[in-house]
Amino acid sequence: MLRVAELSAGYGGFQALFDASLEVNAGEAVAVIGPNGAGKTTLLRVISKLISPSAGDVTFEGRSLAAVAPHDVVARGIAHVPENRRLFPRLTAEENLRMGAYTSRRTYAERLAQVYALFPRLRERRHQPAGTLSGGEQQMCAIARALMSGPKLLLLDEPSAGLAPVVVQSIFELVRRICAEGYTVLIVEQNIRQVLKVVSRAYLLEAGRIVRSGSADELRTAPEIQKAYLGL
Amino acid sequence: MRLFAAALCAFALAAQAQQKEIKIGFIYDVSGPFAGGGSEPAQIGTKAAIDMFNEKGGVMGYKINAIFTDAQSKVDVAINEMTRLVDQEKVDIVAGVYSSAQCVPMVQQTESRKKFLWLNVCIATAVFKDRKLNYVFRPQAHSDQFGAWSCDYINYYAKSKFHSEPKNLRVAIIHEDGPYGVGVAAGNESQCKKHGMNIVLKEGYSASAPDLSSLVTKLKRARPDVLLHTGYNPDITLFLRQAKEQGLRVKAIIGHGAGHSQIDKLRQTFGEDVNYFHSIDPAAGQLLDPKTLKPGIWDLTQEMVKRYQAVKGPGELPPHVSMGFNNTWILLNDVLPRAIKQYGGFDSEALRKAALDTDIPVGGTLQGYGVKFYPPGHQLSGQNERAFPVVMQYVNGRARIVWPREVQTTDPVLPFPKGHSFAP
Amino acid sequence: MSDIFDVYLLEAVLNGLLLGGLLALLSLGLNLVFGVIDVVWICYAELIMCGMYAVYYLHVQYHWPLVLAMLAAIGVVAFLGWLLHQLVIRPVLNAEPINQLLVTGGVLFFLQAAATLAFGIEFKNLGVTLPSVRLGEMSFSAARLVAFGAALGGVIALWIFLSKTYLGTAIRAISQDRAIMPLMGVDPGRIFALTSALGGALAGLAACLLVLQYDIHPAIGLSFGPITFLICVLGGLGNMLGGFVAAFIFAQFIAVGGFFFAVEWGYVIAFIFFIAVMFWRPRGILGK
Repeated sequence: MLRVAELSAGYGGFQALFDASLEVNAGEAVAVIGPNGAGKTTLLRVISKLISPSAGDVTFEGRSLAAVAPHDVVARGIAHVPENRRLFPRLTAEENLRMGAYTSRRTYAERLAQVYALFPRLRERRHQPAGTLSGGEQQMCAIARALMSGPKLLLLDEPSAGLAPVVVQSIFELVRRICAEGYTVLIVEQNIRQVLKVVSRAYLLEAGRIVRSGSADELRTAPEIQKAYLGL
Repeated sequence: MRLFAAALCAFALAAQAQQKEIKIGFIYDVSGPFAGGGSEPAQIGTKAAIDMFNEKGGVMGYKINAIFTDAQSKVDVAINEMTRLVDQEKVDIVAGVYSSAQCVPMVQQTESRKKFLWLNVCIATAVFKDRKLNYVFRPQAHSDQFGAWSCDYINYYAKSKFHSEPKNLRVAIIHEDGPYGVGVAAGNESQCKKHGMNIVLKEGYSASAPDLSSLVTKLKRARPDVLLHTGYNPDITLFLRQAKEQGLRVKAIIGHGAGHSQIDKLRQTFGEDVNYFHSIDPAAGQLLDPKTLKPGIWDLTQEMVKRYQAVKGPGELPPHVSMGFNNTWILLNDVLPRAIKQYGGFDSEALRKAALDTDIPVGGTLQGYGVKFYPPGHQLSGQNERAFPVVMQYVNGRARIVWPREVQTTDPVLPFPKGHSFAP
Repeated sequence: MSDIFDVYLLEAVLNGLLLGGLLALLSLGLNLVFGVIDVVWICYAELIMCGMYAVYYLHVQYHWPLVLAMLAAIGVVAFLGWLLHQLVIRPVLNAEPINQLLVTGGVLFFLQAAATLAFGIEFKNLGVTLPSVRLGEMSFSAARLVAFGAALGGVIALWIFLSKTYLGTAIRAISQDRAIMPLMGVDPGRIFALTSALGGALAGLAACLLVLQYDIHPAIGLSFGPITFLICVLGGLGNMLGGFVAAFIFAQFIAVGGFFFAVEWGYVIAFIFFIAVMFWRPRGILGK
């Protein structure tokens, strides 16, 4: 479904990504794991065209995204939950969801019902400004906002970052449920232990390069990962 | 060969003759609110006078090279333009200037540079009063006279027209808060008090104020018989509009030049409502009775009207055209030739001496007044002591001179007749 | 005269209310544009001037019916707002605020000079006089009443648009986080252009109401530009409700202050209040 081929990208003179290649198949949940500053966020930002690559290509459903305008990526079926959630703090929770449905207004009511079914907590908070929600609720709202466009592929950038440990548990539970619903998910995480319980495959990104890939079980049991990231 | 030499010689002479010129820098406003308040008409009048001289070969063989600059209705721009004219353009004379707000700081600057400054339009008495100026001259009447004139006028007609003793007349004075408005209003207040009138309100406002409704409300509460008003154009329109909307009633409205003299514009906006309004200004030349003028002057007036209407089309000439034309004419026709002939040129010193010698009798200029400047030592030194303004009354867009009695062309209509929008 | 009930004081208060409506309408478009695009249109009042000229020429010169001329003028100024954004604002969108102020300030002088060249310095007016509304001793301008109504209507319409429609929500969202708008499928450039046109249309609406009361001349913006800007700052730049409230407070200071003291003092008191608020709440009465 998504194919990233030899992608390089950076900011100004700083290159954050070197020849990264990966693939996500329909219905799969795939993680990109790695330490802070490895280029994970950059990877997602290139896929959703917030930044342009310096080399390489991204194809989605067999078509290159090179000539697609940033704001047309959503309509192609890719929704991106950005790092730090990035809700519109002075819009209510429901208005944030409405922004998520900007490109698919006809199905708004139907999707809103689905999303509230998935996140009953949001329904209670729907008239509250998003900035006043708790961290966990904000993450739910950000994910829900992305789902409002009815995406074929969901990009999740560090959904557990900055959340209390108890809340992290419930967020991963949610991600697991979303994957179970049949969404294709590409998730980027530092919390490797947790994320590998949710996805089927993963790539290890270090200093801008994909250094390893394999099934979740393979990576979890790989000695160098256990040593470097899982503290075993 | 000899022919060639002669031709060369003639050519050289001609070239030299062409270089003989007098540079005069004129400062007016052709943008901003003052432009429509009379500054642009004054510039048109000035140009007409200069053209007429240059068409006849200039002044004593010197071509007049006039440089017109736009002060944009701003004080700082006026001062900068003056500095530029003097320092860069190296003009021999600075002249023009519409707004008193520009004149007051400007005289200081030209005086310290000993540059000859000839003021055509601005009227504030404060420009000269106690300033001990040596190189600044103004043939125009000054604002204290304006303010006094309206009070003298209503005082004279109090009994016969208002059927009231002057001391029972309720007078309100409102004015824009620049030197011009403040100066006129001060003249109003002292003269009306001298006649024992009851001043029920005196208040200034900013000419660019977006709202004057509370001023109108206060006027309604003060119930004046006569309203004395001094303002520029946008504020006069705004005031009259709000006054009408809020139902202000008075027996007479007397304006003091500037916006009130732009009768064509006021009529466009208010139509019949501005009938029987007054304005005080130096006389518009074309309104005078030719019999009161010296021979030949009336021809000038007609030429001025012709030239102005060629630019602006038919319609009543605002008095500012006469101010621009006549006061420039006095400079070119009287002062400059004397400076060249008797004082050997047109540097500031020669011009100053020539100006102080000026002695034109009443009726000797296009606006009716004579010219003699107060000498050094007088508190208004440089101001023309023979200048006077007139009170005009507008009926259906036509101005008639109603005061002073000596030049009156018709009996005034006082108070507003029944049915008039502002009549009680 | 009774000290307890002064009909003239009441007239001053009510006139202040009407003036407040006019000022509120003026502040609406400027606030909208600032709130969304984060750029202050210093030349806002000059756009209004253009709108006034548009009404004048269409109605007086070309004899269009007044209402039609006004609608067309709103369209013209909306187009000017759009053009201003595309030609002038877009290149400096990420520049220092001072540079943005300078370019829109440049547009102010350009429009003034262009209007002087194109329309001359003569004062123009529609020659339309609306009747005044009498209430006993008191009398009010119908043009002001209409402006007051239009300001209320404009605020309500804008509020509905901003809170109930996708586009309106996007306009509010973009001021909170411009960078992620593409992730919502929103093209920020389009929203900015649209907001600029909307701001222009509001300036056009203000022009239609001002033209009923004021003479048109190239410098008319000087009478309204500074006060509009002060009101927006007073209410919290970009905060439309704040601007609305501030307009009415400011107008009361002008009207009632001018009634009790000299008219000049009304403005002085209003400005002192402005400065005091800036110390007390630098981000404005309702600023965050």
